[in-house]
Amino acid sequence: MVKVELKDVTKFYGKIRGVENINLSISDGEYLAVLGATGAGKTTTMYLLAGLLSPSSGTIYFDHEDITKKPAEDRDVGFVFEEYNLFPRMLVEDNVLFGPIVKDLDITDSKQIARELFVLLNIAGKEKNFPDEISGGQKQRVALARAIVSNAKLLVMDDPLRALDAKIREILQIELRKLVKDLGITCIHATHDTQEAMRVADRIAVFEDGKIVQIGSPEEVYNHPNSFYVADFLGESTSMEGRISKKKKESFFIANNGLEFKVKTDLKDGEEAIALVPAELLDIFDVEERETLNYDNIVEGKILNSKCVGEFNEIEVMVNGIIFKAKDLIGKEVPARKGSKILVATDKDDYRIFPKEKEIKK
Amino acid sequence: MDLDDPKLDVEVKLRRTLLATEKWLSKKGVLSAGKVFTVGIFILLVLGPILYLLLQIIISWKDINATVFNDPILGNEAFLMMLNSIGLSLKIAAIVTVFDIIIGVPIAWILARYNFRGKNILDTLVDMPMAVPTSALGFSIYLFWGTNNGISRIFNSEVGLVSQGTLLIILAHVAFTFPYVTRSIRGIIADMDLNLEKAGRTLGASPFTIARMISLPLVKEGLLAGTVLAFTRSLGETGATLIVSGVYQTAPVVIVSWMKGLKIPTTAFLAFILIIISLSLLTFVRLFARKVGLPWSKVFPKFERKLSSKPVTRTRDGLSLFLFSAVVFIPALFVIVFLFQWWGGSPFSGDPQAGMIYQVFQAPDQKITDITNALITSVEIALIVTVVNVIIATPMAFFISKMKNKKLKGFLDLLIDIPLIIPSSALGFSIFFLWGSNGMHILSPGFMMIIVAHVSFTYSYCVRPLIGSFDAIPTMYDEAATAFGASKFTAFRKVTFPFLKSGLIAAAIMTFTRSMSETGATIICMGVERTIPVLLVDFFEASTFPAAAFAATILIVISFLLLLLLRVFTRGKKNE
Repeated sequence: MVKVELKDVTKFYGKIRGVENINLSISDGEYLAVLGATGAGKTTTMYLLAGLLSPSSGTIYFDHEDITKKPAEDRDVGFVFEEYNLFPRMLVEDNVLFGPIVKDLDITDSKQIARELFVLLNIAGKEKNFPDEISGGQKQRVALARAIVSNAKLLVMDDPLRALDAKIREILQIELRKLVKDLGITCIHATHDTQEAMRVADRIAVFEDGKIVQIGSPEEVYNHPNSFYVADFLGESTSMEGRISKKKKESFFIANNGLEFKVKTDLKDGEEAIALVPAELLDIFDVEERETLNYDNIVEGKILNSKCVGEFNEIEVMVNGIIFKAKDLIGKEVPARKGSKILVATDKDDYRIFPKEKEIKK
Repeated sequence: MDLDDPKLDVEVKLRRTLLATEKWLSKKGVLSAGKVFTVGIFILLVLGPILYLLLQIIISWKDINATVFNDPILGNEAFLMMLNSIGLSLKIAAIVTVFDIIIGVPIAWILARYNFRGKNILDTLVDMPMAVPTSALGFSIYLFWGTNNGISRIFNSEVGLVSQGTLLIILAHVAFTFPYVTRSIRGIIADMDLNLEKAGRTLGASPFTIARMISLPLVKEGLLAGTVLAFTRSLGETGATLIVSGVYQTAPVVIVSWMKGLKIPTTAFLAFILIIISLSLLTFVRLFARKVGLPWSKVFPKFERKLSSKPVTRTRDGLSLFLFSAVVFIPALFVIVFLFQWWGGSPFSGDPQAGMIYQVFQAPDQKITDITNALITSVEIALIVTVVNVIIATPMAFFISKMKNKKLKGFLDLLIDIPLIIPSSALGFSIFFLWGSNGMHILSPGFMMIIVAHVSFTYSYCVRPLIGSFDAIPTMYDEAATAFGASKFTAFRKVTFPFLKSGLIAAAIMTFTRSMSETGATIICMGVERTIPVLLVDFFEASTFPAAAFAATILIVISFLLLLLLRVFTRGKKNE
């Protein structure tokens, strides 16, 4: 519905930096997730887009029109807040029709759209309730309907699912993506949850300390994180320091404790590096299976800890003084007893290698 | 162990006796008796006079009928006069309320939302008219608008800009009633969730539309309560009105003047009507405040957007601050300027005998003795009233706060507010009626009757904040103490009471301030005693303005100090 562009957008709160030099282009109908830790500048970006804040410098364009100075009420941005912000003394129905009423839209049309949305979002029948009479998930659905019915060209969601239970969160992630894609609306969805970002978005922009550090499709960001920060933020992982060694055309990472892994990297021979391997890419095998395995790297270790968390076991394996964190699918026949010996198997693609001189933030 | 054991030292003995007494007091029967006693006192002191008045109206309807409607000489003259005065009072109260909203709401908004230097000062100034005796306030306002000392100097006029009458009454009433509106919504606006307004903006509403459709419904009840309070205060005010009304007589003024002429049956009937009007308003608001819908669900986006534009909002803020200074602040404190103008002599003729120094300290009638005596009487009364009220209000507040039956609680809560809204002269008259020679014949007008009257109308001011304090105390501490073996009374003394301290002090200062500044009921119940607000009215009626200004300034200074004290304690409470 609208193409959004941010050019060198910076926002300072007094001396505190909100965001700095944000350059971002979102194409018409795209679903972009903004991923970052608390304080990374997600909310600031969302507020800047909606006009609830104005940038200290920089320009924001909607369809090539400079709207930097346009007040929030004229932007046609549907905003979904983390804490819903439904108007407490209004019926659900009046909440949803608030936008059309104050914008003087055709109420009959809007009512029709609202009715269809209520069916789609599975909240039909709640129209005559007050917000405090419905559940959290329902509230957020109402808030979503309210944002869309107000004739929004751009949907901006600031961690909309944060306050909800895990299960409802997953259901809503799928519903959200489907709805946004069906409507063809441009959408920006801020979240601190990697899985959520991956599940909903066409592209993900990763924020660190008020800056965009990487932007790309979920696969790109996951498989080729461009910094240690991004790789580390994406999920549970094991990291170790060491250096690169090139033998024949192959690259090896030699950890400081002497372990050697075959990896893939552009770094030069002898360069100091940091290697990171996501927990879900580590494969765990019984020692006896060694002969049958076909992996680039296989090392032996001892189980320090094993915990079943539902879909998988969280296993910590000690290998030569390094603790490997692994997520191993349940159902595989692996000794889970503390202290038992075990094999940790990885391929060279599993390692993300970064040069060491970059400061490591944890 | 035996209490009489000589080996135990005195302190231990005392403590044991105290604990034993408290245990006895905590017995079920004793506690219930205490509850009955508390409610009994409330009924006797607060409701009794009003009920007795209603009863007497019915019983002696013949008398009233004869004097009010069919007087052999005057016919129904008295009734017509009543209708006129009530009509005037209602009209004034309605206009005053409109102005209160116009000034009070933006000021509340400014105080709640903006941060600026001097905000604390503005905050105190806004509250001040509630603490300053209305007679002092009315006098000051009269000097400013109605004499050639004040505003008319700017225009070089020989006479006052506004003569005594309806307009001056309105000006005076606005000054001391608008804080009720500001107070009742200020806190609500400050606590409001700003995110709701953000949500409104992203949905396309202009700030004005948001204020009207989202914020207003949230402050609606508070606003309505404040408005009713302002309305009833204007309807029932005596002290200032006596000074600014001139020949125009509002209903409370008529009560006072009839009372002076000892026209008991007609006064009774007028007081009765005023009480009924106030009670109906209170009941209506309590029952329907939540249900009252707001009209104008239609939105005019373009027009409302214009109203939200910066020039308009700036003009609005500026205008309300201007109105506040021009209508409230400057006129209310003008008396101090006047006092200095007339310090040693008349600023016009230079005659020293017209000056304050001569009138107060040197003239043969020795006004300074009157002032000192009245001041002492006022403080004595206020102190006694405060002590009595704290003693009888604390158990009542505890009782209401802990009550489980919601309907009964709501009903008692409503009853508590009665003294707050009925005109104090009508209340004073009911007390005179019940306790004096027409009723139980226990008291005659004078010191004691003033105390009874003051206890009665300050009761709400004392109970209200205490209920709030009790509500805010978590019951778990109390329960924990009881679980450790403390009797209910001991638990209260040791656990609840320390929480209550600041609330109690606030309630006490409130009560003291109200008692110090009341005029209407005092005039009716006073006999020969004079309190200082009444003395001020006397000075005014004797046209000794500089002396009156001296008394008014003393009153303003005292109330200002009390207000600062109150702020210290209520502020401390907020920070907890």
